[in-house]
Amino acid sequence: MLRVSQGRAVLLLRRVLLTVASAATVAVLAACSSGASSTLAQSVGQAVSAAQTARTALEQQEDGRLTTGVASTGFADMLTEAEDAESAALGAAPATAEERRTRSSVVAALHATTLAIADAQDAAARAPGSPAPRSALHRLARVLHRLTPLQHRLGSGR
Amino acid sequence: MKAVLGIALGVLTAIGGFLDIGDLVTNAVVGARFGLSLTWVVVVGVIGICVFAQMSGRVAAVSGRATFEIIRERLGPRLALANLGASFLINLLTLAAEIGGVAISMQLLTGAERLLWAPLAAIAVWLVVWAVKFSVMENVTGLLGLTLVVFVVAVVLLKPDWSMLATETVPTVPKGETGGTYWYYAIALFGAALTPYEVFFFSSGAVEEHWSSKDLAQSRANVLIGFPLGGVLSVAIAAGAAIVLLPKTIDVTSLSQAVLPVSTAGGTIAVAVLLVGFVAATFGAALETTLSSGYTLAQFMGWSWGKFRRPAEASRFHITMILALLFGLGVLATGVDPVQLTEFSVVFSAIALPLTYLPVLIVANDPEYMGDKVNGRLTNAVGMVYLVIILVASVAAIPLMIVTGAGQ
Repeated sequence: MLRVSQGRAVLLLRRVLLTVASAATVAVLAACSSGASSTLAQSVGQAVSAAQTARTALEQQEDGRLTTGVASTGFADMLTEAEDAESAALGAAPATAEERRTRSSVVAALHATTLAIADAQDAAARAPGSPAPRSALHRLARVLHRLTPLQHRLGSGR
Repeated sequence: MKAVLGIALGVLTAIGGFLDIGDLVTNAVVGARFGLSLTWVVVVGVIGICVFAQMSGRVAAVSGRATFEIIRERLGPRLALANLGASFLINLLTLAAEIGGVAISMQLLTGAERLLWAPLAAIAVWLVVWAVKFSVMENVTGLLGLTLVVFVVAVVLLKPDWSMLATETVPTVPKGETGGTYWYYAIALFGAALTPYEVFFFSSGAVEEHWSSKDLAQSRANVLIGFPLGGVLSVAIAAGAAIVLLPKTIDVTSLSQAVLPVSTAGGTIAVAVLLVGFVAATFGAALETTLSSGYTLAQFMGWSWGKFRRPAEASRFHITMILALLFGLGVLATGVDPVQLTEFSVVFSAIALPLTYLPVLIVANDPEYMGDKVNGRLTNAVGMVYLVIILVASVAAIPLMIVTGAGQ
């Protein structure tokens, strides 16, 4: 079935190359931009995910289910994630007054998330038995309570 | 008895060596976002890698020559160069991602910063490639990689509603996701399962270990038993993420999040076992991608290659690997997130796949090289179906990447 001559094989592979290259060119040329609402929605989704991860990691560390290395790496990763979400929201360019108001409340909530995750990171590093993790968990819960309605309002941004 | 033990060892190392950073990340990302609705892609991908690896392993075992040597001879230097270019670039990208994966795994193990671990990981890879016997290297990393079975154990310990989990495997676009992101991640999963370096490593490994037609049964067993069982581990990663992370709307953006289902199920002991698996899987894959860089270029250029030769007898092969490692380190030194790099590398693997798959399919059908061991009708029928799937995935990947903002 596939016993092809070298000439045909060359032709076949050339066609494959051409098809792939054409698709790549068309796609690269097709510019894609997302609006402020979509950026804000994605930032909120990112912050929810980071806060939920930090909460789960802190709960598990308190229960003795997570090793210190995984917990510290997880908090550092989630802090970066929350900071990235905050920068993206700050960079969103609102076109209307309504979008400007939304951006203000989103940025405030995202900043609170970053602080809450940093707090959780500090709490996790404290000696066992310290009240800090419980307080950090409450702060994360409050932040999530603030982010959830925003997420419902803005959608997933996908 | 010795033969049975040999087959068992081959199958076990094939299972343990099946997962790499691409599989770990992509399956966790997909499970947390799409539940098990993309499980069918893992099945399609595993069958694909079985077809692809079985063909290239057979080409190497029957002809006694590595894939790239024959491709260049059979298709001529110009088209073989296209094949080489695609394979080599994807390989370099994957190598950087794997070294990043080793560094993250070590950070998870010790808490020390990943950027400190990256150069150490590269040096360790170089030392192993330079000094350790091929079979020892392959067996140790493969067997240690078996600890990733903890993903399957975790799913069982999580006591999911199995019937509900089974219904979730029906291919559907979940609420909150678009058709574009669903298909983008389908291609990413497919690319993660069918990474070209695995095939070049497998076929060059056959030459390294001096396989002949007599070893075809073992080669088949390794591929047809080992890879599907490795695929079960992939599905378990997605299932764990679907059970623990999806209900909490956690999107996986780091490897530390992929640990949470296992820690939820099995606590610190399970986490410790998992981390050994992470290090083994990423380090094993870093070794394979480093060697594949050397194999592809040396085989194309006609240089002396192989770990079965002393480094002084294959100096250009070893220099290529050192340069590839330095390139990987350079990429990581830019501060790029290894997880994002992985997500891109699996998609680019899918894009470049036709250029690596088609030549192998052609050579596996050439009686001049294969004698009476050319592809049978069934292999060719499946092989042609996969050629179409691979072409469609390759053509659709970049438009989907742009339309979805790389799966955002």
